[in-house]
Amino acid sequence: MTMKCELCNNTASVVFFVLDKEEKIEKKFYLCEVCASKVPVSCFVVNQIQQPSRLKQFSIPKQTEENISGIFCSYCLTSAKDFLENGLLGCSRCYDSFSELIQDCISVKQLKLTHRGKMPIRLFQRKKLKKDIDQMRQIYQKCLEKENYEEAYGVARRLKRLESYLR
Amino acid sequence: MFLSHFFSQKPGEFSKIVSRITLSRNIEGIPFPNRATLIWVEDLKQRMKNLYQRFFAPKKFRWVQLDTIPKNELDDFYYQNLIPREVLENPTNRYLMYSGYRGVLINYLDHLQIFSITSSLDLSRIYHDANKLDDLIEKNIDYAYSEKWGYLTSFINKVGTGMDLSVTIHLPALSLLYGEDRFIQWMKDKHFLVTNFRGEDGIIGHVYHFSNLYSLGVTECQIVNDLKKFGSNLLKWERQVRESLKKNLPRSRELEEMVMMKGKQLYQNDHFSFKDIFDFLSIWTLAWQCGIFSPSKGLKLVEVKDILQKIWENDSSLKKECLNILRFFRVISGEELCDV
Repeated sequence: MTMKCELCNNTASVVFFVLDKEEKIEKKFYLCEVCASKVPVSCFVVNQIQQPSRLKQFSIPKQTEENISGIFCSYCLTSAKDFLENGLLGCSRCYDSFSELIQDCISVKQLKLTHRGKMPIRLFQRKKLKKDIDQMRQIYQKCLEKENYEEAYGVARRLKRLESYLR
Repeated sequence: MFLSHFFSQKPGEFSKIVSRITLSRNIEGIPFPNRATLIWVEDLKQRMKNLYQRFFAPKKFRWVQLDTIPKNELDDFYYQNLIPREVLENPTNRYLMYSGYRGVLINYLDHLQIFSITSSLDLSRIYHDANKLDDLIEKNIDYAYSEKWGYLTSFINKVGTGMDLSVTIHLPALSLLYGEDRFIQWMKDKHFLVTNFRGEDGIIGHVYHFSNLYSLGVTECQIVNDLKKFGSNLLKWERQVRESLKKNLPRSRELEEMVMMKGKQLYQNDHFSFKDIFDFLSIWTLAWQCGIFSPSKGLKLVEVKDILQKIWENDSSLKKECLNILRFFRVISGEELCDV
């Protein structure tokens, strides 16, 4: 028996299983490939905001704006349209996925486009390490230019050790 | 009991100032709360609970699952400014880790909202409090951070420092002098975000809640210094206007009459807005604080009590809001709330 897609009534080829933890029920949803690629996964999972029953109310907009259609975050599946509608990003990777859109929005809302404040200690240490490595490379080059190979050997060893911390 | 505790302050005192700092942080690899499914929320909870047991419990912090506590306890958190109104209305899957007036709200708009509150303009102290908590968490958990954008938040208007520094201040004299709209516009021109004490547009009871507009491209210290300077200037000007109001007899009379007129209007009308109630409470407090209006003359305390009781009737949440604003104005002190 061929199953019909629950959204567009075409022949379904993808089956989604929804596990409702509270009700302990397993539900099946049949979708065609086209709909499956457009419906956000969040619709199938019981979360604090959306319930799986909302799937039936989900409608795929017939004409989305051309410039943002198809742009979505591959990690949390937030679409650019969702972001523009409610201003919320779904995860940290959305910042890469919608970088151009975000840049446009931020240039209106914020003072400058680059962070100037506090940074996590681990990144601060990494940045300092990178700076030290750069300095060490310059010293190494100078030693080579002066043909001071003995000192260059010592610098190279230290450089190697510092680089190992970066990995 | 209610009457005997009215006017716990002396004339000349100022209303309370509430300053609050929030540092919004998200954990790398976990979708933000608006996209996080229950599995992710559970993961977030476990990570924070582990941190709590290792580092925060020994420092006498308390862990609260907000959807499991009684409503009145949740209300108390809201009136103490520990949680926002949205969390009061929907506490599901939200957690609070706190000690006194600092702590972390978990799984609200961002994974973590590290906050600290004070009833003064000591913004540097609350920043250092929040920063300490931030450093402690950061040593054990990787935050979502980019070198370009800074700390990544679910709303882009907090990206960068992730900092929301706000001051709630009662400025009735300045509002009456310049007019609310002009005053708000002036604050906006100074690049501050202005809302009422409930976080909505439109000022109620001459209580202004202003916060930093920008969080990207500025350092934390800059935000703290700008807001501190701005708040101190406002306080200074409010004090000056109050002094001139006290010295100017016709102006004092005008204010006293305004209090009585507004009070009587409220008493006679059946329909009044939130703004009507709080604006009345505000000018009533101003008149009291300036020593212009005293319980022995003009509008009698019994009448004020009747007006308030008529306003809140059976609406317990409105009663709480009114009492909370009276407590903010320092007309009644916090402890007496339970006796009312």
